[in-house]
Amino acid sequence: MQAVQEESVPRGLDIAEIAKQHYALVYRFCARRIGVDAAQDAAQETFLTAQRVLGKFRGDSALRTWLLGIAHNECRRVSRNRKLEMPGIDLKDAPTDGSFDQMIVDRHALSEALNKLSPEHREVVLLHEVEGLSYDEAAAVIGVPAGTVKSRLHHAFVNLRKSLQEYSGGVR
Amino acid sequence: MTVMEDLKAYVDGELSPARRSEIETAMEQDEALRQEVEEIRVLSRLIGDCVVELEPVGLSETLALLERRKPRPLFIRLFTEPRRLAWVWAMSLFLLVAILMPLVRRSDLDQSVAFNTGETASSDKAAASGQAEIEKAPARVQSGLSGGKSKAVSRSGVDEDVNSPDRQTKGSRGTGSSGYTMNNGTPSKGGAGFGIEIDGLPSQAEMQPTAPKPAGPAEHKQREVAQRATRQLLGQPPLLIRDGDLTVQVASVKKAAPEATTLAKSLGGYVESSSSSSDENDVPQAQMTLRIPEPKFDQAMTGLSKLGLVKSESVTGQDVTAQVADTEARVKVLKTSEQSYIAMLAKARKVDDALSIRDRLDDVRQQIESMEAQAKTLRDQATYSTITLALAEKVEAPKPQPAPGWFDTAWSGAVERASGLGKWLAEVGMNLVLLAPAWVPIVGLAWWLGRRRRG
Repeated sequence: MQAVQEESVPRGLDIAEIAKQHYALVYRFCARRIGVDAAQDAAQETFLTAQRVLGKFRGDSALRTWLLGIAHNECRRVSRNRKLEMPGIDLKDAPTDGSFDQMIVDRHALSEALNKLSPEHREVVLLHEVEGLSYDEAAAVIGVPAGTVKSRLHHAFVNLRKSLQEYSGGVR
Repeated sequence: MTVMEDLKAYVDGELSPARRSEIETAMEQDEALRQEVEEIRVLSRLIGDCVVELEPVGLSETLALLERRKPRPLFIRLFTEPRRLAWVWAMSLFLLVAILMPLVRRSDLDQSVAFNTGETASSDKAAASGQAEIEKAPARVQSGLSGGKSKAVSRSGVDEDVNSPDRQTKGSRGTGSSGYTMNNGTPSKGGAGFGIEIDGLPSQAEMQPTAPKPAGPAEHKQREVAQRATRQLLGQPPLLIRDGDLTVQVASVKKAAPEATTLAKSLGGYVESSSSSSDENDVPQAQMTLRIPEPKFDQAMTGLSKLGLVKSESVTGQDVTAQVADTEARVKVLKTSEQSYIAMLAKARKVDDALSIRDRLDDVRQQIESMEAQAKTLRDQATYSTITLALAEKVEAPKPQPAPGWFDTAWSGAVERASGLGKWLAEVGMNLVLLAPAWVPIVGLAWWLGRRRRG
């Protein structure tokens, strides 16, 4: 899981500084939803939108949650206009530290299992497991209640495990 | 919700303490649950660790774009981002045209009115100039008469106008106003008749009947007659035409009108006309025109002023001594000419000559009668001055309205301004609605292009 540090909301909001801090997060978020080709435009438009509405940001949520919320809407708009499908999730080829946990699951099987998930399930998996957002933050980004995020995550993991079991007869 | 459904939330630490302890209690009693939790934890960590971290691209471009789009005041963005704010330009232009068009049209109207007024002023000036010339003409005649230059006057007014058709034309063109004035006896207003000749049209002098040139001694005699008549007139008191205009407020019109009549008669005058009426408030009024012997004019004005409170008074006077002298002199000259024509008629041998001389004789007699009537009228006006008397009873003046306070003034001003603003907004609104087919597609296109460029 990526280590995402909770940042304090800057008072002297400078969009350039915000972009420098959060561009990678927003870019990856967009890339995992609409693909690398459209990610740059979407990320750029996310920050332009943020620049326009920065005065309305009241600090009720974390800045990255606010930015990802804008990015989420932008990705939906782009995918609707360009009729883009959610791209598959790419996994690293080799384990990073050679631990047992990583060795016991076949990368290919995991990749297929993730890509089999519905867009809603895959979205919450990415938000929580990859971007490291809490349930409340993920709920704020996609605009659903936290209970829905919890439920979707549960079902996503049930489906993931089922897919993996079908692939290799179980993780154990 | 079952324990199984909360296992993922338990692993993620998203459960309340109470629910968390419930799950832990259940796990202690169930080995399968512990196994489930472990699998979920492993899978969760694995997903986080295995997902490829994409290398972000486009940060520098985004920063540059953000710098370009840095929020600035709208009026600066209008110039730095004209394409993006094309719809603002379009709306501004439309509003500007909507506001300025009525002003430009009003300005054109004002200019047109000013131009017409200027023309009127110019023509007024020309008329005034003509009037000045007219007023100068008798003065010149007067100075000529009193200053011993009667010969010069006689030459332009008698010799050239009447006796010599050739010289008459020259004189009329050359001397202009004096020739014309002396011909008619009374000045006429307007600059067109003074020294201005229109090609193809006969001049005033040319329209005068031409007469055969009398013999030299006769001409001499005419000059002498004219000079003698002038000298005779100048020896007499001046002939003045005086008009008085008097408005008097009286206690009773019924009493004042007979008093005015009595006064006029006592001074040797008479009432030329009188009328009485009532105004819209039933206040009696009377208008009288009194003719008073000229020497008693001042006395009559004083007497009439005593009838009540004088509201207005004006007196105009005109010295017609020179005019009468000139007219009478010309009559005498024309009579001399008449005698000459009669003598010539008696000597005429041919019928054509006799008829021609007869025509001239008739013209001369016609002129004589006209000038005699003119002189008589002037003498009559100079003998009896005219006083126009207006009598009116006093009217109770209505009580003056108290001056409005500052609040009323401010309120009425605000209402008037609000009304004006409302009318203006309504006008702009109506224009926007009526011209919607023209501007809506432009604005819509600009908006769509902007959206497309952003998207």
